[in-house]
Amino acid sequence: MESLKVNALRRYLLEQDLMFLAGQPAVYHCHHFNLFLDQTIDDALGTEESFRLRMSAAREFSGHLLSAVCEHAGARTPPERLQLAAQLFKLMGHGSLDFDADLSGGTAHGSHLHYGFAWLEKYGKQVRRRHPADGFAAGFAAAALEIAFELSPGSLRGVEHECVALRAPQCRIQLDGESSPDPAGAVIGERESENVVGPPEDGLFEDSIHPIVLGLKEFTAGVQGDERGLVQAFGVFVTMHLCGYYNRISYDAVQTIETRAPQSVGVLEDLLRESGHVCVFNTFGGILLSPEWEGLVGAPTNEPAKILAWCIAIGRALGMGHWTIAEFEPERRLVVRTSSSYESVYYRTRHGLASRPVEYLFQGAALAMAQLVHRVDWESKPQLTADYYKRLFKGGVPWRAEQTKSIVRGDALSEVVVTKVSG
Amino acid sequence: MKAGACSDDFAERPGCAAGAEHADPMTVGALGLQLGHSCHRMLVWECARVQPAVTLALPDALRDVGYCEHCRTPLVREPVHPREQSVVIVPRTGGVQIRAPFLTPLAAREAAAREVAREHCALIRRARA
Amino acid sequence: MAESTLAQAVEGVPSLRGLFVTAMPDCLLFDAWMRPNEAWSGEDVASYFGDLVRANREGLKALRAWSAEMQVTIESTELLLILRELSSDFVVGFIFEHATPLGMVRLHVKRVLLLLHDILPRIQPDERPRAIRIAEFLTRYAPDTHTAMQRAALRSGIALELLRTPENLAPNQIELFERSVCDILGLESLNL
Repeated sequence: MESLKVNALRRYLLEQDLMFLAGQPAVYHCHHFNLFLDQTIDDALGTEESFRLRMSAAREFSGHLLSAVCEHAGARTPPERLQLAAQLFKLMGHGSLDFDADLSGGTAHGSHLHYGFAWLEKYGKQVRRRHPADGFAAGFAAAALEIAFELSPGSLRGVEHECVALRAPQCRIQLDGESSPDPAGAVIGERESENVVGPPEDGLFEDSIHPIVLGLKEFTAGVQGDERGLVQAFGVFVTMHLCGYYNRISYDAVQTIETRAPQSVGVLEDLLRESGHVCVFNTFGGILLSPEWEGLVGAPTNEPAKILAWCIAIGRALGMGHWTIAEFEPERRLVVRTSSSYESVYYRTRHGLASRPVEYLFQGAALAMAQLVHRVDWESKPQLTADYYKRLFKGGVPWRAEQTKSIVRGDALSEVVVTKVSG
Repeated sequence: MKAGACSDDFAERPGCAAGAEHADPMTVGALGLQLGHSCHRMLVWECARVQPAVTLALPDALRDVGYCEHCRTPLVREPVHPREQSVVIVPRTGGVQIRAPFLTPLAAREAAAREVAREHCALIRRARA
Repeated sequence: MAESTLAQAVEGVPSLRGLFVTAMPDCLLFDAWMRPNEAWSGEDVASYFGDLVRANREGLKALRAWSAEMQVTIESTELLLILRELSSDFVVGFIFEHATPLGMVRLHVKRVLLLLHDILPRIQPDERPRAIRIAEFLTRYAPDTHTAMQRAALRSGIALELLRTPENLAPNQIELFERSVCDILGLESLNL
């Protein structure tokens, strides 16, 4: 069985900048987004129900991924498949899993698990955590065992009993039979994505965006987890992650709150948008400030159009979709369009048409790009810390974003208009 | 940040207390080590620009002292030491960034970066000679 | 209180970098003096000092070692911080240069506290509504502060607009609000 290379498994949908890993929708996100999104689901559903949902989502989509990867690699026996799963988990930047299990269950020991490790690093000195953080790893581990022993999908569950975010020395996930497996959802792969995306367009500054996207995609082809399973690139900690995980936890949570506490839907959606804001500010900002960026593209400047074009290029290269700049008037108005987004692919395939725009990451990202372009002094090479973020936005955000077109509502493309708030 | 003659006399400006979220710039000799941006605190340190010709020689010099190249593109070189500190070099601009091993305890990161910077300084001096 | 009054109280203490008077039990800044080149935020500093003293008091009580004369001393590489309660109404925070000898610190603290005892008013503060204090505690200690109230709204099920005017919360809502803040901060309870 050959050693895995992420590069061999990665593909982009032509002209749409949607990324796939062994045919499964995938995207790069850093720990700021990952932690904030999981936290939002915790806040919406409570920590126990949230962990179950996150574990289930991870199990479902990791199962599809592992099935495809095992077939690709020719892994036939349980030990081969478990070894492959552990290797893939590492390469994707999620940490290390060590299995001590058989077809009835067992234990997975985790070290440097992305969520727990990153939570402790980011928040550990500020707040105490009382619930384990690694729902994704728990689901991935369950899926790995199901695939290894050819069990029915959803027949095992993972529960994390020890977690470094709770100051345990290591993470420990217990794998047991699942008493109430979820019904299978519609498959979402490249074909389903092609059915949803609209005709790709060019926008402003394409001459500078396009070559950067190509260069970045080539660069990230070599980006994968180290021996501990962490990905270090651009001075940030990145994961290659499953879009299905993000989408399912977000949309299932919204659906639950719509029924259980409809008065809270608005604030949940605001926080889901905020996770997009957090992603762009931290991940994109971190990339722009990195020496890798300086080498590949150039040092950041305070020219708004340049920073905006660069952000669009980063979004495409990370697999967020074929973002374009439809309009840009500095200090007044920004219109971002896309013919594709991993959110719309999932929603249209699983839920059909929506009554309102629900591409939260896209909405939050457009607003954050307006902020990055206008409010950060790039030439001073700031540190984009939580305190910097707080100082920058202490008086409120001077921009307003509205999604005016939406693939999930049946439009050919999605569009967010960002305008300056007067006063 | 200015390039200048390297020296083993490390003059320090106060303010970069270990564990500080926003450390003031700290000078290591004339190498001008400054805290850089990283998602993880105190891990990343920017060096003063050196001449591109010197950065061209740096990866080989680092290899001679045990670093191994993890190069994804010739535009950005990244020698990594077995102890896991790395140096990210942008040959075109002379940009050099030191990254302390990410498992280094917070209180020790500044010292770890300084250690690498000392080594770096000596290598640059040799490369110029 | 006139700024000059505090300035007069600290005259003759060259090693003092700042003085903060916190009104308890709400940990609000009452008054402050600092050297011209210091760039601290008085409100932030005062509120944390009040919490520090309160936490210290509760800790000592748990150890059955509480005393009205207790003092919190914190040394960092750059400063020496002394916190003292001055009656139940005020906590006074002294920020000295790090190198100040401790004997001098004690003398200065004693002298300035005596002056402040005469200067500061005797007040019977209205206890501010608990819900307001919960909201302030949350925004003071939550990470990602700009989203803290939204998170509390989501966790508690209480409308965000209502949480922004916490004095209007009903008793059962206050309980829900407090529980959500505990969950966000990872605390069993809030000692307010």
